[in-house]
Amino acid sequence: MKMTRHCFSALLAWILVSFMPGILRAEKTAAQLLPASTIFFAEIEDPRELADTLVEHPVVEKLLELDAYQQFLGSPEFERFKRILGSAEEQLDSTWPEILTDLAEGGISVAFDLNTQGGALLAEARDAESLARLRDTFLKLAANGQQDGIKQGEYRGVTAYEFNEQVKFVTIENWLIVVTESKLGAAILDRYLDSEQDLHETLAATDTFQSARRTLKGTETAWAYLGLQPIRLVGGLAALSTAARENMLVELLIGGIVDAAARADYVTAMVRLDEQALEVSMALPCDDSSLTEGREYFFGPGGQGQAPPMLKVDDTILSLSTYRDVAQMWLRAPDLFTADVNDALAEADSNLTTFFAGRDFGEDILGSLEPQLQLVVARQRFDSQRPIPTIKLPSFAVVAQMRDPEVMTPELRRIAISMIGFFNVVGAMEGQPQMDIEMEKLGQAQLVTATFLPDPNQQPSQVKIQYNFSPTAVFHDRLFIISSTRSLGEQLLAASRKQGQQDDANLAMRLSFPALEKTLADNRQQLIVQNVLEDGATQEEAAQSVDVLLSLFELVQSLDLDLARQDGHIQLRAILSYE
Amino acid sequence: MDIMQVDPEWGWAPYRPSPETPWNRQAAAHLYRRAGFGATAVELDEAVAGSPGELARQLVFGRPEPDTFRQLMRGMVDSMIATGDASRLAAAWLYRMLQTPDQLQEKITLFWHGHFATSAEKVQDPIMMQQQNDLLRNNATGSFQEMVQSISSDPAMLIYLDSASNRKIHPNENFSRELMELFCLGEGHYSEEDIRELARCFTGWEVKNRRFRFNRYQHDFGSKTVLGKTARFTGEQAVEQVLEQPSAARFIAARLVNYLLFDEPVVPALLVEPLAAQLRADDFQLGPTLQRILSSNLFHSPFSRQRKIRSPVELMVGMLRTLEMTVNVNELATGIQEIGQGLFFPPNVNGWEGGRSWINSSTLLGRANLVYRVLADEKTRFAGGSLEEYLAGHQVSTLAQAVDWFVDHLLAIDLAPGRREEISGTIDSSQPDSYRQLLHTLATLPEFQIC
Repeated sequence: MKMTRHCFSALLAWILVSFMPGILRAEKTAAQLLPASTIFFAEIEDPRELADTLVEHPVVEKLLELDAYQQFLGSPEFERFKRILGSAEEQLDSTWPEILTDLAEGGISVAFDLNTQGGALLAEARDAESLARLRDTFLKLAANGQQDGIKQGEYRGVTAYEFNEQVKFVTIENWLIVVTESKLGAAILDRYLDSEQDLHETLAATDTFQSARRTLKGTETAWAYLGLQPIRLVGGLAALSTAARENMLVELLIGGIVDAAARADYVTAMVRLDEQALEVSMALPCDDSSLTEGREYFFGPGGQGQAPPMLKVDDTILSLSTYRDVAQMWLRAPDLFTADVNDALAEADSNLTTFFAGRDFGEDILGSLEPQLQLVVARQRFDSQRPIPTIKLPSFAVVAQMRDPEVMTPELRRIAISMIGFFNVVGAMEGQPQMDIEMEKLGQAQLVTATFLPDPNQQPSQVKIQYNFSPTAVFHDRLFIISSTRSLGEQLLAASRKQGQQDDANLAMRLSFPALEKTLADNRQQLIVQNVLEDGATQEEAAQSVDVLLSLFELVQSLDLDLARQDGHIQLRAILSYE
Repeated sequence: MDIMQVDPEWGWAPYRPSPETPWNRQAAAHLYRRAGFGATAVELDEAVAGSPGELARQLVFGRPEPDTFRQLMRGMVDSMIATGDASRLAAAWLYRMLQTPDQLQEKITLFWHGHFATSAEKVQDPIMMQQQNDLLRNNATGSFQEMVQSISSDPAMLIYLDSASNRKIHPNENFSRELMELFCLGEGHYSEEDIRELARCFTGWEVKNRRFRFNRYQHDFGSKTVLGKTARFTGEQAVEQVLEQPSAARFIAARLVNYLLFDEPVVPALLVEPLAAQLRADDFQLGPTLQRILSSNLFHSPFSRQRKIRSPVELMVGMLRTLEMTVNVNELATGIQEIGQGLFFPPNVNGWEGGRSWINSSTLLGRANLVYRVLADEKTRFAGGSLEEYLAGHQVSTLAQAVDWFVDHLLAIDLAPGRREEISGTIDSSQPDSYRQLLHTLATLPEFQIC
């Protein structure tokens, strides 16, 4: 019995020794084939599923139904494309979807290696026979078209091909390996052919890549990794940092991300596509110790700053809700921005301090507001009793909370009235319409509204753009709303009384395409005119272009974007929803 | 031909084609360039199949804009006005020049825009600027008397010439001076006293809410002596008194001849007189005089050919209309302003000087660059397609043929012998944009600037 067990073990050992390399090779992933110096890696694990999703996707189906697409199908350009495609399919004796499936059923990856400065594409075909058939047909086609186009060589018994002196490829078993540098090709083949991984460091074995890999959820359509350390060493992130230092808006939007990227080892990106949505997200490692004091205004104390719940009003086009301690940013400006920006800020600070009756703009005015801010942009509905502007702009508002309403309400109210007066004086000097000021109570809330007086001589078709505005300040308890129109101010006041849902996001944004489409449709005639003037189109062509644009907006519902700290990462996520 | 020796009777008599001055494509192109901006190959074919007199009549009276086009223009202008930016109006007007079937109306409106020069730089308000532009268009070939009466109370003009608040205790003389010097009589036909007295007639003429208002409390109802006649003139009566001067009709007739026939010299008095007499006889109706000028022996004589330098607007709109081009009109308006003719922004009350002043080393380079920019813009199309397709439609398939075609259709003056071959020889025909390069090369020639 013992003897039998020994014999079985020996047999098993012989089998393992004899066949293990092949088994190991078969189990290797693209990341295990790539050298450790790879700094960029992206993969689509199931290209066939992606292709199927795209083919059957409701948005694609709607796109195909568009008149513009139908016209394109009848165009000479499409006919030419169809002829080329048909010819290639005939040569390969297969259809394009089948060719793609044959070529990359097991997944497709692309990578960039820092050491060799080479790019690579690795595709795992359905099987070695399918791949060999495709390769041979391709070589035959290439040879017909260009006698000297393909060169052959050999590396460790594997035939390598060079195409146009720029692209090299090999097929080995069911792998297609395409590289731009021979050294990278050799490094990949070494890892493929050598069974013992210890001989070669691989991307998959690096700590950074393994950490990054842990962000995978298993639902990704595509996933990408970028090692930041080498990029930082060559100054690759300097442009991002400079952009934030030179532009206050960039700093406000992504300053915290730029700061975290300066210390992070990697960034990952993920794409998920299904019938309801397209999701793209990026993740940067960032634990509490990575948060710097300079970006406390961005993430909040202890990184706990949360955006306020989004207020919902009719036909909201854009809602942006965020935690940003703008007063702190203003005071930290010398550390955050370039000298030029600081000069401009100092000048603005001086002017605004004068405008705000000697109160320090950064500390007293911005500092009087809580860091939870919200921007709302909504389609406007115009009162038929009032002049309706020819160009119809959406209304917009900023919503904030006052730290000390008893002190700030009268102060901000007075400033609002002063500003309206100032604009009236400037407007009068330039012959612009004048605003009438109104103060009223709406429940417990106070409203200061300015309304442009109708111009009795104005043609209804020439109503000026100013009539899009009825600047309004709303005060209610700690709530402070400054809105471009009274209507939006009132709607936001009502919405603020309903408790919204608080989530963990530092920044949340929603763009609604139906509302955007309605706003554009409100201005259809102006868009047509612009198209006529700028594209030289006829009125009919311009109308068609505008209608195509509007119909494209009908294909999608919303774009949601949020920035949050989760599981030791900063995650920026965008979701494009169709339904 | 010596213009000083031209017999006026012959000069303004209807042109009859002859072997010396045949009615052919060159003659038809000349008429289109002067009465409008330019003609397509098809329009030239149709023109030579008819008579020159009939074409001149059609250009003056027979090509009204359809209602649909007027509505499109109204909507376009309203969109520009709604922006509150007067500089946007230029694009809408250029679009009209490019697309209107009534070329002459726009050409003459452009003439009156320079004549009654008013700049949005000072007026600012796009509504008032467009109101004036509409006024000039509506009267372009109509009654000069009505146009002067209207322009005298035009809000944009009153603001531009500081007459928006003209008070009897301090009459503003700007408008009265320009009314006589620049608009109706010309220098030397009035005295300083006439200016002062005429200014009194316009006191109380104000602008309120973009409209003319007569403020009777600020008007000087007293007796005034204007150009030798004493009466209690109102502003309207004063305009009539100005236009009753013999020099008024002569002044306008001479300006029109210089605009339509030749930049230089000043039109001889003998030649002006028959036209002035006709204007008076027609109660200053401009259409018949314009038709007479455009169908005359003098207009079709060799003397009147190649006698004008194209203004920036004529240069670009002419090329675009001739080649049926569609372009980014907003950028075109900016480009034309950059080379010296900002529509709605004439340089001063004298308008654009015109003639040789259009050309200097800077503007010549600017003209070539503007043509290049337009040709290089991917939005630019020729009858809806590429230049290659457009030329192929006219049986042009080589550079040599293209040179011939462009010269025949775009240039008022032929190139020196051998120049056509020389120019086509500088272009590499294997380049995909060789026709555009050729067209740009032609646009840099002095001959291209002549009309």
